[in-house]
Amino acid sequence: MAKLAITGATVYPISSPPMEGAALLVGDGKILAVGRVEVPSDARVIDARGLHLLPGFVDPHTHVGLWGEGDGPPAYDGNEWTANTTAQVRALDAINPFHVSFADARSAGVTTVQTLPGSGNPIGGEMVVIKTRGRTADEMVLRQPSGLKGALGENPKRLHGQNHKRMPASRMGVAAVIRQYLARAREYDPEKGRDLGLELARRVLERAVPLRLHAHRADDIVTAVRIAREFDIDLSIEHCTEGWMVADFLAEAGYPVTLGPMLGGRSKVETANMTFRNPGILEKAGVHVSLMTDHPFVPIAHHRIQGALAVREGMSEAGALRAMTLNPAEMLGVTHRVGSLEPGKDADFVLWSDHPFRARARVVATYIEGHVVYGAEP
Amino acid sequence: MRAISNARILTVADGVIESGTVLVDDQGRIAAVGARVAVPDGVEVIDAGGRTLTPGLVDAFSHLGLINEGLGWAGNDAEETTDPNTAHVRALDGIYPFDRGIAEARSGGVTTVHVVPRGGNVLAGEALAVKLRRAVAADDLVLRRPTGIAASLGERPKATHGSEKRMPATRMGVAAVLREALVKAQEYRPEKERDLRCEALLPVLRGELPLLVQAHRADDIATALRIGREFGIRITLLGATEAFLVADLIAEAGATVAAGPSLAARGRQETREVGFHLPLALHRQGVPTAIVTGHPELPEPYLNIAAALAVREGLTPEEALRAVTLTPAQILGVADRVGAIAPGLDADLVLWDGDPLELTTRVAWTMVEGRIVYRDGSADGPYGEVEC
Repeated sequence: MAKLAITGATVYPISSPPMEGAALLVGDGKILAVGRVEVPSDARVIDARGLHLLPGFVDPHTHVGLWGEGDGPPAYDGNEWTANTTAQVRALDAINPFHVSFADARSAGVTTVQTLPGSGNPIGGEMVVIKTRGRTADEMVLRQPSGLKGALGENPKRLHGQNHKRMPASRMGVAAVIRQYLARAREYDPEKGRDLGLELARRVLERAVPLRLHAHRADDIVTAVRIAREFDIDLSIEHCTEGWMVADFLAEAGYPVTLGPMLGGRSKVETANMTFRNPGILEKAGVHVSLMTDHPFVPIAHHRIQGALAVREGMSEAGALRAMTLNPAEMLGVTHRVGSLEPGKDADFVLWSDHPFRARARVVATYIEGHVVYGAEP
Repeated sequence: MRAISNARILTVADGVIESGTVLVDDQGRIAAVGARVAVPDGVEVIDAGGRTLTPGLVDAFSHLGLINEGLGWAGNDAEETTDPNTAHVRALDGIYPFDRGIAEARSGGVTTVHVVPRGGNVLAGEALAVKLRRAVAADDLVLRRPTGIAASLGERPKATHGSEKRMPATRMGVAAVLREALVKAQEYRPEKERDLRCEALLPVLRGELPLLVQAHRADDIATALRIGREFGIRITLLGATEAFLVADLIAEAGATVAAGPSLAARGRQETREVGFHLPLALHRQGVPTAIVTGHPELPEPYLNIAAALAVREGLTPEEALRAVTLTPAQILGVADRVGAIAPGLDADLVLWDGDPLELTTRVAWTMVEGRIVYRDGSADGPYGEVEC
């Protein structure tokens, strides 16, 4: 692939301050140079003056391609609700690369997503980090598995206790199911017979992948931390709606949090204290914050709007951009490939007509590994 | 009497005043507005500091107060799902004045809201327009009641009733239930036996109130217009996701549209085509179109964000602001009170710290009938409520 130079844009590398009138040099799907770049004579040059150039957004908590929207129950593959512990299921096996949600993601400048099972089960299944372009799920994979999904709070209580009259029917029960699972995994001996669900748990106990626990309410957040400490595992706290109420606790605990979705209504009791002030408060407390849409619960096309509203309610603009790029990449363990514009990383970037937090901003073109996947080169 | 001076005033009805004053009388109405308004001696003057003043926003489609957010089942009183025809239930009886959604609406500059029963039933009940004053009784929020009788076509009534193995289980059945109710109301003889369902529909049949039809798919919209013609009744479409496909037919029928919410997911098959192209397509056909939240689907404080995104898709900023102020006021029949900054209208005003159609702009304060009901950064409560 010939070299490509994009010149004259306002460039936001994320890992360093924004630069006006800067350039990005790309070759073989990778970033070769950023900033004051000497453009090689064999490079194709795109004049991007007046445009804003950012890394592709990384949305760390979505159901893109997995959870249909607008196509009814035949496309709902989010929760394997038939048992309360289903670590053997893999999001990878249910991703439809032709689902409209991938086109939505590309159109909104989102080039990397983590797609994961829903929150119906205390132990839900394997999650995967993918690029938002490809014919088969396998060729989209960036990291597999990227974690084990689990859930605290209302959803597992409702799905299992209320709907199916089985454990868990209470928050005590939810925690017990998760503990029981991790305890069994400690004693798992594959010589006595393979158990696919426990194989992933072993990876969690070895800290090769984190447990990512859905927790909205402050007490559920604390329970997630308690369990992670008990088993000495890596954790990410997913949603963290009441995180602002325990900001100091979270900062001290040191686990990364994935905030959202925030743009919709408070659809559940446990989301009653939802506020766009949450990201700014956690940023100030020193918590490692990423923003997420939980697509389709906030459509991925509106990811930038959540960032803008986080800024409106107190987060720094640089912090919000970082929470949509480099922070989630770190949290997902994929910074060697994505999350910032640095030499050696994948050429996943987006040309915007304006700063993405301005209302009228549009994606002019989205690139993944040097290919235009949405819009057109200016 | 008080005055707001040094403001960039978007009057909506009469253009922009780059630097002007609004005079508010002791009844909470606008006494004067202009670049050169004489402020009488002794009047309290609020300096707007050159910031932008707009009318309070008007949301023409909401379930505010009926679905209390974060309370789950116990706080949801938006649909009486026990019968496909509940034309006799009233939104007024389900509004919880202490719903946090009301205070949050004020924090987003929303001052008038059309509260409509949700669309689980073919005939869902009576809707009303409320003013977001501070009040302890829902009655004290009323601006106009009723504003119409809510009806619903398509997936929602099918799902609600068909799943209970009763009519309607198809779109044919939905239309039949609606027709039967209207025929029954036409033949209603109160001297025989009172029937509140029929009584609720009489103002609709007389043309005094519109039927407020929640419909998304183009065929459902066509059905609403067909039934409107059959009975000679006025139609206001709510939702109307696929209205861009039949905008000319809507214009021809003289119907009005509360379009949206467009910021939500494609929650159902019938909302697959959701997008902000909708207001522009309707505007081009001359259809009176409001941009709405459908709160809590999109919470009230994001009404200005919805208008901003319609601008991104081609509506002019003036048209977009009108679609969340004067046009909904006209659709609701309350333009004699709200929707613009003009003498004689209620002093429902919002001061913004920037362009109201920008994502990061904050509301500095919101005024209802001359009283400030929200102030940014106030320590007086979780939503900065003051002066009430």
